[in-house]
Amino acid sequence: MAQDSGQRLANDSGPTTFTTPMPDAFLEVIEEVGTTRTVHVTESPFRIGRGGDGKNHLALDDARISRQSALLVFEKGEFQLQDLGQRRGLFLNGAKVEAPALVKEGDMITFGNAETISLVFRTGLKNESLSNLLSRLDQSSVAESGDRDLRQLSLLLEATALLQAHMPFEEVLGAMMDRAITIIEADRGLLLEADAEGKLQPLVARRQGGFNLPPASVAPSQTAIEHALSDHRGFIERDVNLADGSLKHTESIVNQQLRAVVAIPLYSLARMQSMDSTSISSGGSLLGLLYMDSRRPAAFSGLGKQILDALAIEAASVIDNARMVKLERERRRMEQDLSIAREIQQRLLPRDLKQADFFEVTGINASCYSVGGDYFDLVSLGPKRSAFVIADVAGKGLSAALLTAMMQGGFSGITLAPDPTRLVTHFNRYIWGRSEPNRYATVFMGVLDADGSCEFINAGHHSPVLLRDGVVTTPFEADCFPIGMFADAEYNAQPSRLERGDVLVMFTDGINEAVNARGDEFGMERLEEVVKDKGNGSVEDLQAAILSAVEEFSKGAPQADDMTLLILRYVGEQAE
Amino acid sequence: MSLSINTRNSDDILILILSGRLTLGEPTKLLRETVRNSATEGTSKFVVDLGDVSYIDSAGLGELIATYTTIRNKQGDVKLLNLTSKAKDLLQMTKLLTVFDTYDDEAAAIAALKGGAAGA
Repeated sequence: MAQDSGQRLANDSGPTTFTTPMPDAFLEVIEEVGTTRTVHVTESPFRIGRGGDGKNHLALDDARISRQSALLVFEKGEFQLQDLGQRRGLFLNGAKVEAPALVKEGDMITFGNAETISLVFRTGLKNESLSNLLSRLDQSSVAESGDRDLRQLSLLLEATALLQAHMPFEEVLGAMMDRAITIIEADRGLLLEADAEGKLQPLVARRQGGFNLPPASVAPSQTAIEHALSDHRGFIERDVNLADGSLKHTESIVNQQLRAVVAIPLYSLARMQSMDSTSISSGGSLLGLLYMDSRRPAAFSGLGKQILDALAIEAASVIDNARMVKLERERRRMEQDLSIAREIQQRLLPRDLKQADFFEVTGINASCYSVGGDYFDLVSLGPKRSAFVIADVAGKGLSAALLTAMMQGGFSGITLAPDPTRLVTHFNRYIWGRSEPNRYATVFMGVLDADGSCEFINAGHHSPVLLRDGVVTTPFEADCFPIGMFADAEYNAQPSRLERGDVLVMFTDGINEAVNARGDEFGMERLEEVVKDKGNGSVEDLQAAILSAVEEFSKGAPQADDMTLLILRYVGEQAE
Repeated sequence: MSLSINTRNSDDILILILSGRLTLGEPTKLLRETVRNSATEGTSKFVVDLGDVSYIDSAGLGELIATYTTIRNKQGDVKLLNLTSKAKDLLQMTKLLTVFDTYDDEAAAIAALKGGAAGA
């Protein structure tokens, strides 16, 4: 458990649940001049000391810090600091901590003679500045009238901008509702959000004083909402009992004894800014609707159009921003997924290619996206036989990567029966039956024996380049369909033979189709030239030479495809 | 850079004239939707003119296969027209020249489609 929390701290990630509500607290760790990291105080008690053996939530890597140095405890709504035995004492704002001492925002914690290390305590530093803003709001509300409402709103905008960075969605919207309720002196408010079909769904409901209401408990006046939506502008019914309008007898008004209602449609901001001064023009995307009501007779009587429009802009910006934050979070999660996928995929690649003494081999897979559709592998089938494969899955990114992972699993089946024909035939049907016809892979695979005899299958892949006695050829042209395209495709391994010293360069089209800034392709001729020139050195040198030739050629042009190489030199059977 | 598709009818045959790059993303989506929409409206015979297609990537090739499969599953047929040498190499390497009927002359492609049964 302690170990676990230590790791969580190190990563500074993940939500943590508490049995007692503890406000967000952070420690800014200043270890050297100019470097600061912030650590989330995730639980109470929170241990600080040297070493990360799992006991300390904040590990400070400095010999002058005692192993058990300090303790932060959240108790009765306050944070307290205790000295656990820091050599030469623990100090809070320069004063030695003799007994548990109250810690407040901005307080500085220092350690005996470790004067280069200090911790600054932060309790929801965002909340602090928020409450500053809110107090400015309150001050301005007692100031002179006139445009004070608008000034309030711009302060509110600042407040919500701050809030959104760190607070959950509902709280942001709740805070926004509270301010709106205060500003127009309503009893309660309801924020409805337009769903994908444009239907309004209750999102947050609050009543005066900052209390949550179950959104479903507020039955808004549908008539008022309809008015607001059809007019594309804020709708006010100041005193329903006196009104001649259609609202007077509608059911919800009567049931809930409402006196006055306000309904403000919220449109996306781009449109709000282009609206003219008399009305909100129609035709933009509806974000939601802000609904407020009051039982007080003649409520909202002083409410001008200006304030309604301003509220509409404000609330719309909150929803807009909130949506952006949501999208951003989703994007981050997606990125996280991708980086995990990348990690998995990199692990699928063989880690150690030196698996037999009758050949030398090297390979590389460079994805231009987080995850790629290229794959290579090498499997030992005993001391005198190995199988190898290079594959290029159609498409890119995650979808290709998934098929690539299937390839890897499928290819490993070669260890059960070293029969490429059977394996590929089976695998073709397997992929075909489990994916769309536009999902396929071109594959070159072979089984090589220690005596140089071998079998190849080329399923729609480029022929590898063969270097033999200083001459380059591409003798393994494809004679089979790519894998996964047609159910009944036939695959037959072709027998062949490698001579001692032969170099086989297998590649994917990210190599020969790499383009330069002018749009020319690297091409087979250039590849063959590099193989011819550099093929007599080590396979690693040849690989580096090919990659640098491609890089040099395509300098300045972004590459759109994965680049993968698998290079093998048959060196022949070694004397026993 | 991306793909555009012009269409033209010759009796009950739809001729798709592709121009640009047939690659993953919008281009493959455009081809898929064009074919699907026409097939839904009852078209079963297609000529796909690839003369102005400068590049076909693996996904583009996959989309041609998907097009072929979609149309053949509906007892229709598709002929490829004006393959560039690069496109021919690609179809050669993937053995797809044995699947697609290819023509360098539109009239010949149309005649073949009119000639009757699918699967020439």
